[in-house]
Amino acid sequence: MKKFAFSLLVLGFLAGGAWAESKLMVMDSWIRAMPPSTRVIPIYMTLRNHGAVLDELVAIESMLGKVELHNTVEKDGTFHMIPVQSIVIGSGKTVQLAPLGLHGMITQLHQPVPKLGDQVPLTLVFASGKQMAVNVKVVQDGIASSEHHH
Amino acid sequence: MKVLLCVLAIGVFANPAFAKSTEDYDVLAAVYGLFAQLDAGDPLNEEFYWLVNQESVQHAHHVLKTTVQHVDASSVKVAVSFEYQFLIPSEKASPARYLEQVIVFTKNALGLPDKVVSIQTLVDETDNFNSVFIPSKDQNLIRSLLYDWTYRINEPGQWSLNHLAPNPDTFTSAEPDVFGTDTYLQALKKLNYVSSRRTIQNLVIKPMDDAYLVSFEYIWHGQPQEGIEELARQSQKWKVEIQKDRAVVVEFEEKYLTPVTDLGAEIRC
Amino acid sequence: MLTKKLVTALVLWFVSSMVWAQLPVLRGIGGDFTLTSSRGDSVSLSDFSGKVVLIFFGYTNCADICPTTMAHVSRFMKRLPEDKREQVQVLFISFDTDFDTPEHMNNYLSFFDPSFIGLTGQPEAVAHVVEQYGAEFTKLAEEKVTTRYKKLSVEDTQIERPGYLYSHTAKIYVIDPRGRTRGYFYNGTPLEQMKADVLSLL
Repeated sequence: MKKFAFSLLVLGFLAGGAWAESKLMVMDSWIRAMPPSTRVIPIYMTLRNHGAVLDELVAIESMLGKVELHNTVEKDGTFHMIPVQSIVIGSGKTVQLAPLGLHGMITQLHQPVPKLGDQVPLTLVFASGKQMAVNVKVVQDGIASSEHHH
Repeated sequence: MKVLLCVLAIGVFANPAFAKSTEDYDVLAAVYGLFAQLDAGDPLNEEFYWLVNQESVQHAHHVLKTTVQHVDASSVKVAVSFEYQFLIPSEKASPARYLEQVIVFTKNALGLPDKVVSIQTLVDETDNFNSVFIPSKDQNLIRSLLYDWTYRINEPGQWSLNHLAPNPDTFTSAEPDVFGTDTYLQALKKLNYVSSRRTIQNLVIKPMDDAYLVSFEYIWHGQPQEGIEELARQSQKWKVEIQKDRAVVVEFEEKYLTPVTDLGAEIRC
Repeated sequence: MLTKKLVTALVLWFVSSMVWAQLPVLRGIGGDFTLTSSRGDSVSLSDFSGKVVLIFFGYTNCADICPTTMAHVSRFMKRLPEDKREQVQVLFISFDTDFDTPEHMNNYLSFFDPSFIGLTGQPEAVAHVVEQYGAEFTKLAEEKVTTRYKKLSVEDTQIERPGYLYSHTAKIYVIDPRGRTRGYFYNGTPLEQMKADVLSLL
C-alpha cells in the first residue's frame, strides 16, 4: 500500500499540475506613466519561482489592449527589440522584466491611457494553464519597495 | 553603493596614466624592413648568423613580439622574438627556429632608425619537428610600409610619402581637397596639431591575385595648439603591390568612423 | 555607513580629478543641422550655441528604450543647479517620420520634461542627421503598433494606420557650447559622471 501511495506521489510530481503546485510570486510590478497620446505602454515586474516546477509566462492580458512580450537587447551600441514567445522562470529562479530588458508592451490601445497612480488589472497566463491576476500601479519611474502578489 | 563603486571604476580607467602608450612606428618600420630584407636573401654580414647559407634557399621571419626598450636621438634598442624558417628546393618543410634578440639600430641623418649595429641573441631554439614553410617577405614589406606611413603622417610637415605611394591609381581621403599624397599631407598640416599619435587596430592583410588588400583602423589623438585634444577613428583600406621587393600603395581610401570614447561609459552599472 | 561615506569621498575626488581629462573633441562625427521642432519652428543645432546640447534619437512608439532614456536624462537634468540647467538643452530627434509629427512630439515630450525639444523633418533630412552622427535606425517590418481609441484629444490624424517598431542607436550625444561633439552618454552612465562631464563643458 505504501509503495502504491509513493508511486502516486511520484506520478503526481511528474505530472505537475494539481499535485506539484507551482509557487510563483509577482513582485515590484509597475507600469510607466506615459503621455495621453502614447500608443505603447511598458509593463515591468519581478517573477520569483519558489516552486519545484518551472513556470512559463506565455501571455499577459489586459483590458487596455493587446500585450506583447519583448526583450530589449543592446549590441554594439544599438538597441534591438526582439519579440519573445514566452518567458521561462526556472525552479528557484527569479526573472526580471525591467527597463532595457524583458518587458511587456501594451499596444493597440482601445481605452484611454492610464494615469499616474491608477491601478491596472492584468492577467498573467502560463503554459501550464495557470492564470494569475495582478493589479499593477502606474508610476513615474520605477518602484522602490516590494509589493507581493501570490 | 554599487553606483558609487562604478563611478570609482570609471574614474580609474579614464585616467590617462592607465592609457596605452603609443607605438614607436619608426622602430617597427625598421624591424619589419630588416626582416623583409633578410627574407629577400640580401647578402648581409655574418651578424645574421642564423640564416641558412645554401643554393636557392628561401628564408622567412615571422615576427611574434616587439618591445621597444630604448630610444634616443641617435639610436634605438628593440627586443624582438621571431620564428625563422628556411626552405631548400629539394625539401617541403624544415625545422623552424625560435629566436629572442635585442637589436640596436642607429638613426640616419633624417632621424629614422636605419642600420643594425648590434644583435644580442638571448634565446635560440630549434624545433625538433618540421614545419611547413610559409613565406613572410611580402607581409614584412607591407608591415614596414604601414608603420613607416603611420609614423610620417603623424608629422605631416616633416615628411614625404612619395616613395610609399609614388603613383596611386586612386586616393580618397577623409579630408577635403585631397588628390594625392602631397595634398593629403598639406590637409593634415592644416589641422595644426602640435602632437599627433595614431594607433593601428584590426589590421587585416589579404592576398589577392596580384596585390594585397590592407585594411585597418586608426585611433587618432591630436593635440591642437589651442588646447583641447581631438579624437577620431578612421577606417583605412589600401591596395598594396610588391614592386621590385618594395611595397607601394596603389589605392588609398580613408573614412571617418564614429569614435569610441575612452571613458567606457557603456558599462552597464 | 562610514564605508559608504569613504567611497563617496573617493568617488567625488575622482570625479573632480577627471577635469584633468577634458572630454576630447570627437572628429568625423556630428555637426550643425536644421530640422523642424516640436514647437513648430525650424531649429538648428547652432541655435543653441553657448549651451551644452544632449541629443538622442528615438521615436514615440517606443515602449521601453526611449521613455527609459528620457527618464534617465530628466533625472540628470534635475541634478544640475538651476542656473546650469538653463545652459543645457536636450534634443530628441525622431526618425519615425511616418508617425511623429511635430505636434505629436510636443505633447509626448512635455509629459516627460517640458524643457526637452523634439525634432523631426522630411525623411531625407532626418536620415542625413542620423548619418552625420554615426547613428542608425532600422524598421522592424514585422512589428506594428496602433491604437483604436478614438477619443484621443490630441490626435486627429489617421489613427488606424499602424506604426512600426525600430531598433536604433543607444547613444546620447554630448555637444559642447561650440557645437562640437565631445562624447556619449548611455542609459548606464552614472548621473554623477554625466553631471561632472556636462559641468566641465560649461
